[in-house]
Amino acid sequence: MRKFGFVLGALLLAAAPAAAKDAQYVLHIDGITCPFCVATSEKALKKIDGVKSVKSSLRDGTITVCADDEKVTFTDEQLLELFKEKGFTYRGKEETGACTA
Amino acid sequence: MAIAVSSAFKIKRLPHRLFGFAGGLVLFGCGAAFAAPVTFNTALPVGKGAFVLRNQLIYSEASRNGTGLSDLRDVALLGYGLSPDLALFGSASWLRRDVDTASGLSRDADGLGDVQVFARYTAYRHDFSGGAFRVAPFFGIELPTGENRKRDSLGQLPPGLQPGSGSVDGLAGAVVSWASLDMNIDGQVFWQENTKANGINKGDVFKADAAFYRRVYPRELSAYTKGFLFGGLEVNYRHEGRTRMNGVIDPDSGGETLFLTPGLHYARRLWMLEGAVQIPVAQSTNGTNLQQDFSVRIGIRINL
Repeated sequence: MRKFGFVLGALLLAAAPAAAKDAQYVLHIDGITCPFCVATSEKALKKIDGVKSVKSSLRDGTITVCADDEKVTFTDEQLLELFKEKGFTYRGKEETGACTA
Repeated sequence: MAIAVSSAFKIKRLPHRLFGFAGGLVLFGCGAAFAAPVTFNTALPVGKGAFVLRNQLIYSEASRNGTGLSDLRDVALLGYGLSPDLALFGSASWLRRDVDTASGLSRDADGLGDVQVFARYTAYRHDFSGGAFRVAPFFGIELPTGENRKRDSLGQLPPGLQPGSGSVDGLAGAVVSWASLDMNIDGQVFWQENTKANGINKGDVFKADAAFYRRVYPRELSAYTKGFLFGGLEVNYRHEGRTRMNGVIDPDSGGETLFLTPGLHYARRLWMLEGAVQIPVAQSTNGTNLQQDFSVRIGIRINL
């Protein structure tokens, strides 16, 4: 029984690095001026496989995205295009570690 | 017999008097995904692949020398972002008009109005932190989808009461918008070239509009503010040329009006409520053409 527990523990440890981790990105966007404006961009971000939550801060001009970092790798080119299509200008992003919300 | 003669006279005069008031559907705000003026267009964008629906209920009254006209219409506008810079719009309306003349004659009509379709292209854009500036020309046409040969017990209704114009008309203009988290400023010039239908060529319409809106609630933004209430003032100038009937100028048609329009809109993520009252502060209509008393608009915009 003790041997079985040891094997199970070892398996879980081995699997741990492969388990999904969440990463939080803060995207800096120019041109958003009201709650109604930013909704289409939020919707587009939520459609990306692996994105778990999206929150906008109009005051700061940011959109905070929580995503599974195994599935999502944001690139500046991808985000530039996404926000251009929605009528805004992408300025850059920060990866701020684990999701806070 | 005297009454019949009088009525016939009034019926004959009615079309002339109504042109100024019923001078075509208003190309109201090209419902973008931004806070925008209530009575006209904005240059701010509709995202690629996004739909925006705007619906306004508009009630107006006009009168002169004991004759009064009321106009109630529901105007629905659907916008679609074809590309980041090009948006297509289509608007359809249902309307009802009632007229009561000084002699006691009452006539009315209702039905679907003319459809407008137009495109708006963003010619210049500049985004900055918490704000945006856009310049966008637009052009389109008004199609004669509304009925324009309606009749009642007295015969065919005058053109000013008909829901449709019967003519294919051209629309063009340009709009400039500057928006920030605290305020929005918009300006528009608009031209409608009216063509001849049923022997009648309504005067062309020129409009110039400006709007200033300021956020009144919340006073201070938090990181995740959910809704904005904007209050402001719009100024609407409208000039309509004289109508020609079988080539003859109607002296009782056309004119110009200047409105002051206080308005409000409350914006959430997926919808926006709006309302405004247009008050004429200066009017000069030709001959006995009716003068506008007021116009009230309430509406909703939805991000689909």
